[in-house]
Amino acid sequence: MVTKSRFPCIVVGAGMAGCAAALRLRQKGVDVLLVERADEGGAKNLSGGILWGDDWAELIPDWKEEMPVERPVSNKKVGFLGAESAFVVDYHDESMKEDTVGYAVLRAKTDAYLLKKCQEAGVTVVTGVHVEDLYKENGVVRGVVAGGEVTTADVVIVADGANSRLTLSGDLRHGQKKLDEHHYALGVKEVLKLDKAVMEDRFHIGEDGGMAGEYVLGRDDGVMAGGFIYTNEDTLSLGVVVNLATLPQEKGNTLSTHDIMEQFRLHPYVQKLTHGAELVEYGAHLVPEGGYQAFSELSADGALVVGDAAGFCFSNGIVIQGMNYAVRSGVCAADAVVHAVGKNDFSAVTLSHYEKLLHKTGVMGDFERFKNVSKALWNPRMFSKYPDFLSNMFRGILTADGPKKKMRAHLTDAMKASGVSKRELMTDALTAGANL
Amino acid sequence: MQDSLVNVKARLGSTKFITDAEEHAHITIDEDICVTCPHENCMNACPAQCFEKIDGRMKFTYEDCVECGTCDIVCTPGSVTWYNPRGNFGVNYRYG
Repeated sequence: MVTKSRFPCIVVGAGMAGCAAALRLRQKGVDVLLVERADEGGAKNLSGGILWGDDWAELIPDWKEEMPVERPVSNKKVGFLGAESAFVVDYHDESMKEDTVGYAVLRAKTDAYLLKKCQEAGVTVVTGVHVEDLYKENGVVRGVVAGGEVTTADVVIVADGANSRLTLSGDLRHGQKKLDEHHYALGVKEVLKLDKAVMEDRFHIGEDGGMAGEYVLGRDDGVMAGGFIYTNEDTLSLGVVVNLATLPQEKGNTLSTHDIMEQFRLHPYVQKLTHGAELVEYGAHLVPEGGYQAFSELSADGALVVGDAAGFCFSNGIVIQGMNYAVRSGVCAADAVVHAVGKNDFSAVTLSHYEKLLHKTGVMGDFERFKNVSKALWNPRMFSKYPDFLSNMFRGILTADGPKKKMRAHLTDAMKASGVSKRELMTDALTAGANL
Repeated sequence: MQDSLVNVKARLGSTKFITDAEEHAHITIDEDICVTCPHENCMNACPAQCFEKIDGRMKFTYEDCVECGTCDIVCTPGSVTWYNPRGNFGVNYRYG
């Protein structure tokens, strides 16, 4: 059955991108239907996660006071973990407690708040409904299919997340029928409950600060993975991001993504930080980190794609950003819909105004600038050699005969011990310098 | 064959699921295609250990699936048929 809806726009998926789009549309006076497959807002959503930036301010000026965020990042750690060692850069900045740059968030809480915010703004919200497909007439998106029934609209904003079934079934991925393993990593995450006072003392963050740590995991089996620890109000977010293409490809080798998670959890450095914390949730989520080369189609006849579904996520080596781009792309898509409503034309040509706005607001510029960043980050030596190299060098300096040698000698000793050549070190430093 | 380091099922016990009836299982696999698979990457990649070989046949447990989509990506022979669960069913994060 086909039901003609009174809505010019249907948004599918109430994550950060979908909520931002719906909220913006209402603020611009456009009626919008937001469909979410979970019964409660946020129940299907998971991220690392640090929400960087201040992108919500455009839609919710007081978001920092209102949104149930966890802790502001006042301490950033970046490190390399060897088998039993950790080399960590540890940046503390008290000013980031007031003049905030990012917050740890738990999406079940933030996204439930955002959905409520949409409702208050007059967005028509339907939860517990799974949109199975986009509805097309002559190749043009005309609505959505849910429970076998069609609901029409002038334009559909696809915000169904990293594992975007709608861009696959709706043929919005340049002909691809499945997602490419080279453009996706898998995040595995545990949330651990930890006494607030113990956490604040252990992490040196105080009552009003928080820590965001990201680590290269040194491994000798070719698997490339990073780990993260974030402090929430009274829980820790602990997880790994695994490069799927580097998992063992032969039958019988059972090293798995959850083993990599477990190895990180049991690392002595991590154990000391998480000691006494109790597991309260285990989950996983794809990370669409293919960047510029991996975007879905962004605008089509009757449809726009936003957030993780489009592939707006990347890491520059210091921070992984996705939620801020979700918000910004949601806003751009909403503004493109407003533009299309004004012209009463929902063709791909008119809706491609979205791409113009993505350029104008700097979203595209960021992705263009970092389009080769994965080359520097997913460099096998980063995982197979450098953690070992760093611990060899520092251990060398600290051993009894250390002071007798010049620093340069420690460097060449460590290079020899970890099999790093001068040429490799130079090339990798240059690649990192050029692309980060 | 090395054993898994971790009892994932025990860790998954902390996560809330609303499990749909088996006839509505959101992911199905074609065991006959799995038999021909050169790599069985689904077993390594699935963070919830939903893929298991029993008597030489691949079996999938939909109840523990966290809906990440990884198996659909790594399964090159095309055995995995992936849908989202019906509305409200499946994983329900309380933290996320």
